[in-house]
Amino acid sequence: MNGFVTINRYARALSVPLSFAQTELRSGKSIIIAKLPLALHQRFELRSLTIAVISILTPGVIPIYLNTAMGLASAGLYRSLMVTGPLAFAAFTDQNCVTNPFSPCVVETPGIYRVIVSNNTSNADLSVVVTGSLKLYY
Amino acid sequence: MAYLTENMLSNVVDLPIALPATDLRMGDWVVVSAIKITAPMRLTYKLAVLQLFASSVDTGLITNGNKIYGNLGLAYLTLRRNYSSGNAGAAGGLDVLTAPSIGLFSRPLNNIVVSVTPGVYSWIVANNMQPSTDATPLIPPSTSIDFRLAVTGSARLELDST
Amino acid sequence: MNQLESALVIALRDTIKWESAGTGSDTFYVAASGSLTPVNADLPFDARVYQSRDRQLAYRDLIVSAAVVEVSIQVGDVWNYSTLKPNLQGPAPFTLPHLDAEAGTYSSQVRHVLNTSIPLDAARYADADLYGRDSLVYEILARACGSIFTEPSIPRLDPLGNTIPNTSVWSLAQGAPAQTDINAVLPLNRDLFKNPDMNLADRDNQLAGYVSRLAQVLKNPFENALRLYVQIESFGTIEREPDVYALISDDGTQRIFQTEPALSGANEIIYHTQHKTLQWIREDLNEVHVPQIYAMVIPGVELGQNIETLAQVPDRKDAQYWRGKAKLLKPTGLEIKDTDLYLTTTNNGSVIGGLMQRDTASLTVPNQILFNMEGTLPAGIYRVSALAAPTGLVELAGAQNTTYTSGTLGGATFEIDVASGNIGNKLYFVENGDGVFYNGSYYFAGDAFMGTTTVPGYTQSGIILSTIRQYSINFDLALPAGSWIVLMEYTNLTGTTDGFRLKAQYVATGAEAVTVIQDAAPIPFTTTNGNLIVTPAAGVDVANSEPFSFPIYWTGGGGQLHIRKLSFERTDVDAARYAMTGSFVGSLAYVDVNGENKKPGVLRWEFFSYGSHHGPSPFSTNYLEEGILPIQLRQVQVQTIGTFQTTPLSHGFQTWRQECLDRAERDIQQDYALAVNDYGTDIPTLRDTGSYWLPDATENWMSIAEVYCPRLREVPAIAQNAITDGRQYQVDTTLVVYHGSTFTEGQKFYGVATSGSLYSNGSVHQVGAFIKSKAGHVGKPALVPRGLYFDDTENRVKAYFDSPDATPILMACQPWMIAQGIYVAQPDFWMPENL
Repeated sequence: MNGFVTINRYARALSVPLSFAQTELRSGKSIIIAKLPLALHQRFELRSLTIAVISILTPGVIPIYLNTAMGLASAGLYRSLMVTGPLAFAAFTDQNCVTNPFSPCVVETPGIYRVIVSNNTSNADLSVVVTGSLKLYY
Repeated sequence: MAYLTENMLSNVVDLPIALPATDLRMGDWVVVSAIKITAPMRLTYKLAVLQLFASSVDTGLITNGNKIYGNLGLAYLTLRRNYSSGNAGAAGGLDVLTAPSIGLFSRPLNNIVVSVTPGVYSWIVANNMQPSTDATPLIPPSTSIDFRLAVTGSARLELDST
Repeated sequence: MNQLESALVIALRDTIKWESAGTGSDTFYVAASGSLTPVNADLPFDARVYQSRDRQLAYRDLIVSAAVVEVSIQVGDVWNYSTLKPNLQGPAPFTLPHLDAEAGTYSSQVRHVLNTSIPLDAARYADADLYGRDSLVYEILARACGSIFTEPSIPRLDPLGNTIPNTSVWSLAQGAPAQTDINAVLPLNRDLFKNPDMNLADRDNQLAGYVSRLAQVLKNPFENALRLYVQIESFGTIEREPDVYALISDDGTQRIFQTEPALSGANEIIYHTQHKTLQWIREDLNEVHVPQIYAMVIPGVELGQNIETLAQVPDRKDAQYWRGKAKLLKPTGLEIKDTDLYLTTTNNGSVIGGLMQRDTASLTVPNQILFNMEGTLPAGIYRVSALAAPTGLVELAGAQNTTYTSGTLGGATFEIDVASGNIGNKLYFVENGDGVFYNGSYYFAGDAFMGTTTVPGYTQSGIILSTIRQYSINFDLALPAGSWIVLMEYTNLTGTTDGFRLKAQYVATGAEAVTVIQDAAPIPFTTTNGNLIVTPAAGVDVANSEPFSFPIYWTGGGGQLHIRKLSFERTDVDAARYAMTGSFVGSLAYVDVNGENKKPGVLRWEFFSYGSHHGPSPFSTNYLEEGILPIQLRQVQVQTIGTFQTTPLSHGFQTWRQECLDRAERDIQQDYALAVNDYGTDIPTLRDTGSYWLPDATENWMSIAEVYCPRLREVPAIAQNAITDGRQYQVDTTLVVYHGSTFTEGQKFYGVATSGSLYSNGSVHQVGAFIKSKAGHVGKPALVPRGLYFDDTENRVKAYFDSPDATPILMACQPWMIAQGIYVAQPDFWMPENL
């Protein structure tokens, strides 16, 4: 749709917050920070999901990666539990990272979707912040 | 004034600044939200509420000597760009909301912070307390002044600032 | 070209008035043949005859006016430019009827009557010349129109150009605006005829003025156009299709037209009004186009490349067009590229290790598996993705036994009536008779013996001949420890039987055999030979994850046993952890994830190599933990991770590729709706009665969408007799010959019905904007039918809607979609995953 937005249409466009304030994420652990069931005729778009690693809490550690492809820590949108198969993701490698908002991740097939933040190391506890938003149309 | 189109609606993202009730120790701080923007995005910050529920000490006994930054109240919520570490109350922040006492404190909505500079924008809530530097402190220096607080707010991200 | 240039000086009036133009009765109509009312010189003078002729001539002027308006409208449609055109006071057709015999000279003169003339002279000279003037003006307009438009809006009178000349000279012919009619009450003198003729000549002058100006516009549309439709020939790897260039600037010297993406100073056509030149500025500024004298076709940048301005209304653009547009602009960020190293199926000889199941390779217990792939890899970072599905169901095809037994449709068919000389490395059974002598021993009816290929023959022991059949097959596999259910799918192939006595055993390494399926009672077979039956479920407790044997014995019953499939299933484990190392091009990487039973996911490793690689590049993975739920590895794909070479000055165009994708989606949806409308009630169904998405439904659904969008999907390796009308193909080998034309590598051609379906000498692929998804495409834009979903309860793909409502929608590709064969957008549409 590319027309004008009516009052009714605007009322059926909701911003769903994805908020994970600074939290200690132990090595190898994942946390589901949002879980959203999507029904028929609904659609959501993920535009922005930022991950910031505030600090490495384990002193003097050289991280050992559990998931080499997902950086030190990652946050992503998933249909399955495998953190290496995200529909969209932001991974902290050497700097904070955000999903590309100019290429939104669109989901319009019914199912249950999770936003999972994951510590991808086996030996480094991390302090992590994740902030984002989904726009749900129904 | 133009009408709102689907494209425009899709290009506007409201991002949360949210911290559920959390106990924050004396002198500690927590990053509540972090948002990374690049050109040509625009970040607009209007709404934030800082609620101080409770204190581990009688706030009437807190003096300026207990404050790390004298002008930042008991606790504060600050917005900083490209924050990596260190005390969040230092100069250079883009905005600050202070809680001078127990209660609920909001930013004035007409005090709008707009930024188009690329970077990572972090909202940090901090406990502004320290062991008193007064000669005769009302609160023993060994006592930790902790607060239970919550943050609620929102920032608007427009993908195209033009 | 001579196009009435001398008429350019004529001052124009804005309306060609109707006046007394003939219409509405047979007397006054201009006949379809173009003939005027004839004058019979033998009859007495009748003013009405002459009057009707003049009115018909006036009506011909209106037809020419309508033709001018028609061409003007076409100019507006094509170049978005509103030309000068006359107002009409009523509708008139725009095709001028013409009869050569009615015309006088075509020199634009008019031989007006003189005082010495007779009335017939008005008809045979003045009227004829006026008739010729109308035809001349019309024909010159039609020629100008025909010379430029691919579909001219008005037809020519003289297609061969033999009769009506081109001329730049136009005679005013004493034209004077003063409407008069030949009236019987007026004196019969010269002016009776000449005055109306001068009025008609004046009308012709006006028309000549309009046509001359219109011809100038048609001669050089660049002077006035607000929009150009330009085809720049593809060259090298950049594919270009006809594009709309809109006027963005006109400072009186340079008229600048620009197309999308409208980068600053790029993708422009510049017309210089003084030098009369055209210059093309493309998005890549490394090579500059030399300005060329304007023409509808001019040379491009590369040798042999042409730039053609198309005089036609722009076509609606398909997804493949938007793919080409998306490709023109490279964003900033990391670029993921597909390589030619991939496996879309893993139940084949490319895979070594693990357990080969019926449809896929798998790791049932901690073990190692290797995928052989071959191709070319540049130095850098590689992403290896595997489409994986944890599953408590392990299915082996009957033919996957270790006793050299094969059969129809991948099953295992027990040999019967084994003749002497055909004994192999199997266990055999003496069915009846007096027994046989084999390999130094006697075996009687009911005995079993182990055969060997070194002794292929046996002899009959006694008078009553014995028949020998195969006794058992064996499977070797490993499963996680725990309780499993075993099922066998079997049938009878020949003869008759009421049932088979089957015994199956679990034989762990170094342990006693444990009977899993008892042969105390036969398993019934009461249906037609070839119909598959499933044995009742039997339980087996697997002791540990070590390999075990699973022999199946056919201990009794007639007929010929055929085992199609053997299944092991556990239902007590819903999720498991998978810690797996990966090894590729000398680099190591790790994966440690959770997976849910029967829900597809993607495993992803990243590797780095300093050097490029050619030839075999195997990928191996070692499954370390947790080992409680087997995992299928259905596909593997290698991609490279590099950096986009960002298009200069593209700041602010970050959404370009997404916009192209959105436009492609809209076009596909329109095409799908057209196809659904055409099919009507005959549209194929894509679901079965349980709303399950049928196995070949995805391809069938794409075929429906392809009806009006022939360049929708890319299909590799088109068979040499499968060229289809309307589809586009690209040559993959040195050359290909289609319908007598030779195309070299990289060139494209369209299938044409009249050119047949055969090509030769090489191979081609079908060009399309979407490719079949592979393991590394998770998250990429995929074309999915509305209402398709993965049912988490049944762990199957289902659809809410059948084909009429299964509108294509673009959305992020999910792992189960890859397993279903969904198509994703070509990499030209892809954006960086992160900023």
